[in-house]
Amino acid sequence: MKLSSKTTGWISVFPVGACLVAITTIPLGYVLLLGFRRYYLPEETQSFIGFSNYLQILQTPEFWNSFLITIVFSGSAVFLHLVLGVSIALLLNQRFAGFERIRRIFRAVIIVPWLLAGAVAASIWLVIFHPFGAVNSILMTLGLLKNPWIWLGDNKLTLPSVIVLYVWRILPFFVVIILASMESIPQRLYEAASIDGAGKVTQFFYITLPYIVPSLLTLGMVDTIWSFKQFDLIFLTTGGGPAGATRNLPLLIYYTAFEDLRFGRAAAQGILTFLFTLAFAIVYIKLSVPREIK
Amino acid sequence: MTNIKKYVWFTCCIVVVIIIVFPIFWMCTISVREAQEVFTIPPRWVPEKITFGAFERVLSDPAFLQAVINSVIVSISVALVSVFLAAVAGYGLSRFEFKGKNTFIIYMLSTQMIPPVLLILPYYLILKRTGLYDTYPGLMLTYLTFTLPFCALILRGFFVNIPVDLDDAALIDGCSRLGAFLRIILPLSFPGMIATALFGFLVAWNQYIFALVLTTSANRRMLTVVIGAKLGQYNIFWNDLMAIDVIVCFPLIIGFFLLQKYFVRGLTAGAVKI
Repeated sequence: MKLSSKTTGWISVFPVGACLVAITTIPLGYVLLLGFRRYYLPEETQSFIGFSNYLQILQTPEFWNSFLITIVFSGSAVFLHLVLGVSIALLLNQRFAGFERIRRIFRAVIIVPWLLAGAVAASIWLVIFHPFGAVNSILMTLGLLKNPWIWLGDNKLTLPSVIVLYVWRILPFFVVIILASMESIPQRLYEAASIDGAGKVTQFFYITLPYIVPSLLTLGMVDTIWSFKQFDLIFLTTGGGPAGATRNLPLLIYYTAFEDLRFGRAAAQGILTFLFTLAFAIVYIKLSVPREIK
Repeated sequence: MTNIKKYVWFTCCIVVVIIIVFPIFWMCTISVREAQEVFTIPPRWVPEKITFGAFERVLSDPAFLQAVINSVIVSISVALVSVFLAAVAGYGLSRFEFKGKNTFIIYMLSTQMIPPVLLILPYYLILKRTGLYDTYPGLMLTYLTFTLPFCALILRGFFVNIPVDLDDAALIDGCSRLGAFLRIILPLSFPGMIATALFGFLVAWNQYIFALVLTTSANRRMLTVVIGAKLGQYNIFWNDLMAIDVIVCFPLIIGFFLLQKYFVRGLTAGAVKI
């Protein structure tokens, strides 16, 4: 028996499709229903309460505080990733005779932070940002600081510190992707430009940048989505503190579910977070799919 | 002139690399320092005395060894299952035209948009009810959420680069579809498959929140949860903790450097997914 291309195609994707329906779509449906229920875990009873969870969440300052933190965290992280990512990629894209090997080594080495587990990264940075850790020690030795700063405990410093940590961890991924996209730019464009008398800066703005903008857009979207769901780095370094200064939406949901044991409310918070993400997700999918399907 | 440029460039690169790699270097040095040398002002870049005491303590702790076993079992199974299922799907997506193919790719991508912390709520409730809570299979099943779509897209990227003529030649010579896949495609894309498996392993090995919420007993604890628990203690033994960190990231870094070429190609070809 010979199967048609259509049938074989469907058979081939069926196992993955079935798994994904079972482990993402069905649980998502379940949690959607949960959002309309009152479910306090110790009572083991559920009751349908309509939109009450949502109305209540939207009236609590904790939720809006977390929302704001998530936005600030995401916005700064994406901005820094793009700027630093492009700069470092430009640096590593320079070629000089005799330096090709070392350039390759640099490229390979800087990806390491991206390979680390969130828990590992968090513990390393807890040592570095420790009141007596390397950062304070260096700054005090240089005379820039008199007394140690409490990087991960001070009201004003904690969120920036956590952002630095996240930027450091994801930056290698940005550099690798941007570099790959820079390397795919045909060399003759630059040659033509230099013959026409264009300097390095002009070349960057008229050749390099337009060429890499599609990758930057995709990366920016992916990073927004990633940073919206960032949990382990923040949970393990500050636990959302001090006084909620770094409690982003994922942490808020976690605490509502597993400390307050209010699963219905946590589900509603999660659905709202998902809806915010969805706006970026749609743009991202629109951007990436036409390139994917050729 | 170009020589000056060259050295300016080189210095800039060195500075960037040092800043990015410094935390990892610091982790390594603390793991072989003595306890009183962890926090010093001014910082001591190279430890005065190198000791492997932290590694000895960590490796003789049965709870830690149990966590290593747990993480190895779960991550290897997740990697194998993901690559197996994803290879079949990736092959189908690279070779056949069928209605709904685009929709399927979009569906796979969109599952990655759901925040894990949202999925953890139904997972917790469902696994508790089905008796899969605090078991290896329960944990593996939930990890597939992250690995399946990504692995399928990476592998599709590798398969697309293998000419279809090779399949056709095999089919004409009397191979079945399955035979063509097993004898032609698999050997040709073997390094890519290994890199994809490494990726699945990495995701499972590094996962934290699912491991935290979906296991409870001491003998089902994953490595990341062990690190998290140590960070929560009042008195943290930094040398021991950094030794654990070194042991946890060692296999990934080795694997990455061995498969670097394919890994980076997979990331860029399978494109920016997840």
